[in-house]
Amino acid sequence: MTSGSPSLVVSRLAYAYPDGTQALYGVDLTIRRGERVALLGPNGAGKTTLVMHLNGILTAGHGTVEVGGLPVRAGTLPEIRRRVGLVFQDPDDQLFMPTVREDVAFGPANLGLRGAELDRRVRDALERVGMLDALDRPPHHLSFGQRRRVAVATVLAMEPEILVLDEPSSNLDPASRRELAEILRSLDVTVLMVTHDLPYALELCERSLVMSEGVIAADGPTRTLLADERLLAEHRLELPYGFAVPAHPG
Amino acid sequence: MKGLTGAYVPGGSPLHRLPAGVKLAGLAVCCTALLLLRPPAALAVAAVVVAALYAVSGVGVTAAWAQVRPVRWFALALFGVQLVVADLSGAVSSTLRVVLAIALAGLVTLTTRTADLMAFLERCLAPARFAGLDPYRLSLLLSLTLRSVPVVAELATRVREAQRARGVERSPRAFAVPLVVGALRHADALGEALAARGLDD
Repeated sequence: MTSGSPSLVVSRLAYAYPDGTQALYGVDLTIRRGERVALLGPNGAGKTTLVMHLNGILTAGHGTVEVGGLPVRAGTLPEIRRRVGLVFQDPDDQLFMPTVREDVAFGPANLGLRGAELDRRVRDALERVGMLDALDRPPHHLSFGQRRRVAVATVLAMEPEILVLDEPSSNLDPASRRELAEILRSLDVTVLMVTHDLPYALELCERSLVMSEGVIAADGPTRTLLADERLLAEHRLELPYGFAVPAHPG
Repeated sequence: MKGLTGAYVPGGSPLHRLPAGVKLAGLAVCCTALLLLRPPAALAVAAVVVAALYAVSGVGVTAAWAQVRPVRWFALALFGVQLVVADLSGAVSSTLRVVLAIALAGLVTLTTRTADLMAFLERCLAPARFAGLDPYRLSLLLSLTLRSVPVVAELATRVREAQRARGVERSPRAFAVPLVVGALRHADALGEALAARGLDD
């Protein structure tokens, strides 16, 4: 890993699905190490398609994706998948082993880790999300909020360069939502968070990107973007009822 | 579903401490012995031994009953058929034989972590390597199958509830279509999750 390079550089990324639907029309973005960035945008804007490119589940039609200086292509996929930690929206898609311990160990074990080092990674990752007590429990016995935290741990155990979260606050009760926010804030890792939860973006991310019709339509401080009523309206983004963001705090 | 997953009852009994392989081998031997035991008195002794093993394991009556409960109707039917084609003692011994075998298998499940069973299986499957099969893959396949049971069961419950909410009590199509679509969607996402965590690299 070259320490000077940004965590993520996407340039001129375009992609059309096999059925011909063009989803991305040339996306450019750079995320520096340690930044927490929200990716906002209406349904169908291309957010998920973009995320699928970050770890090579989809491969670029045109343009490039680089993670920590390493380009995403067939030969680099193993390292790319370690560097990009993808947390799925539905934890049941991500937690597929009989116990929490095995689930968290799955990724690092695929990287070839065994024994004490593997155990250390598993415990460390669960500790960071406050789920160490659940080590030997089956994932399906945990609450939804706990499952999502374990899903985050499965990815942290890979010691990723960038954590990519798909709708991290969806379906969480207010207390679980806040707990997850505290956990995310405590992590010393670059975060890209795809969300419709604008207050969550404001709370956790200094910077936001607005994606619309397959391009990045706006990129700036979350507070500034969310205070721009015209911008929000243009891209089908709406703040919750009774919620207003002053352009300058205070 | 309970019999397959989440059945493990943590404990420190001698049975818990035995390696998974020893328990599985013991299970095979005991089930064979059950088949060979003819006199009802011998089977009565076997029943006492099984009960004693359960007592040693300390899993509790509820967990023990949960292992045998699912076969109660089957056992009853078996008893009835045997009563017609054989005699009372024959019916008692064949029913007892089946129930005891299931109870023993249940005891292995209750005292063995799925992970340990899988690890043992993976070792047993090692010779498959020579046939070009990857033992790790095979054991992962089994893990995923086990893990999918509660997921699909939950999906089925949700689909049934959604049907009831719309006033449909029994409609195979209204049940099967969302269930299959949901299961396929889950399979797709699972594939992506496996790839995202480095399987197949």
